[in-house]
Amino acid sequence: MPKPFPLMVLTPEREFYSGSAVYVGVNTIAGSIGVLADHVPMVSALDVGTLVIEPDEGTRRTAFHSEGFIEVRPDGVYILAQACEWPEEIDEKRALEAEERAKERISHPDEELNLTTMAHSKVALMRAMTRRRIKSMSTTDTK
Amino acid sequence: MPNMSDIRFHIKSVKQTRQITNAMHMVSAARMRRALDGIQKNRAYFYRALDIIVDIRCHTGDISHPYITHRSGKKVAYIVVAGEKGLSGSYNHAVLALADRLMENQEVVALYTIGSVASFHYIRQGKQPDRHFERLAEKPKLDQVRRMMTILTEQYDRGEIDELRIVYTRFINTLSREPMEQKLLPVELNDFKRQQVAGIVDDSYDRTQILYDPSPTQVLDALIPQMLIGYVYGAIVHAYASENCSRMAAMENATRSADKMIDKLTQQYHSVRQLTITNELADIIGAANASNAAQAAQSAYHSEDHKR
Repeated sequence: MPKPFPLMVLTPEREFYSGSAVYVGVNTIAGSIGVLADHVPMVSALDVGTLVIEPDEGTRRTAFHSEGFIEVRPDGVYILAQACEWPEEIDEKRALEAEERAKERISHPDEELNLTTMAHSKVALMRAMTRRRIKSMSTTDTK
Repeated sequence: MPNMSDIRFHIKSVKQTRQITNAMHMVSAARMRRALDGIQKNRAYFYRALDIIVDIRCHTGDISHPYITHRSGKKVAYIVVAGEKGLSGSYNHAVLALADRLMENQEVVALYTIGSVASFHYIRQGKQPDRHFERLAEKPKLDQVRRMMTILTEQYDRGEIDELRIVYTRFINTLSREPMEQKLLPVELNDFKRQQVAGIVDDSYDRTQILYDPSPTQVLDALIPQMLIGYVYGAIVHAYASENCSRMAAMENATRSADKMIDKLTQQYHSVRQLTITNELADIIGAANASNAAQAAQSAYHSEDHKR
């Protein structure tokens, strides 16, 4: 039986998750990590990716998270992200539109193209694709 | 003396205005509650980000970052947050007056406005805002804030601006709010106002042992822009709460004055009505008296006739 720990997921707009969990997984800028109870204190920045929460052994919920950071403290884990969405909250149409927009921007760069706008388009593309992947994962799960 | 139908028309129009102010009062109250909820959520996010940045600065020695180091230049960019609509008491005026005062002696190279009241204020002064973000003041959206901050931080990166400041109204409680200025870039960690009691040091564990993955610098790189987005979003939510709170108070006052005015007008109406009745009665009585007198005179005349 894994040990539970307090987990809090916050966005500037709302409290996404608050309660105990036995496992939480996120994508950081250094790669994807998983956190169990009694993890060493750690701080890392999050990339866009999949948030996996196991509230207790055997149940597993996935969600979308965008840029943010994770703080592992002895008294619990705090995840703060710009946006977090459960699969049922993801607007697939909007994500698809965003994906196409970003692809368009990347394949047809403007005259005054610079590296930063390119990077932003790539992040936008990442966001859209991750959202859609999480959405499609959840729909196949339920069927 | 105004006549009755004038007063009746006046009462009707005041009643209609009262209905509007009362409805606006209700709407602002509901919106304010929603905004307050948002402030709470945002506070947690922002302070945690700030804590981590302070931690990194404290425990990992000197890290320089373009967003932390000062520049010698004097080119300032301002973000001014005001309301989308008027009719909110002194809210718009107070924040715009502060912004004007602050900008007076500075070399303002760029001006960004949030809320159409702010935009029009500067257009009227002949200063076209470099960019204005409409509808953001009415419904703070995080992705829009992110887009805005991306534009601004890019300008900062290119050296077009040396300082970025924001002027907004801070929400203190339902009765008080305070227009204020905050320097966003370069980041000065000490001057972000803390609402919590300062000086409580969390000693629950040794903070020098925190693992920064992949490295403190990279974490800082990723965190600072996020903290700024969090702060600006928070500022807009604060402004939104203040606007609605101010409007709520203004509309409450307006409703109260409308009630008073209706009372006064009704009284006036009654007195005018009474006066008219009295006048009419006086007329009737006068006329009756006159006709009686005439009759009496005539009968007297006729009776004199008989005598002859």
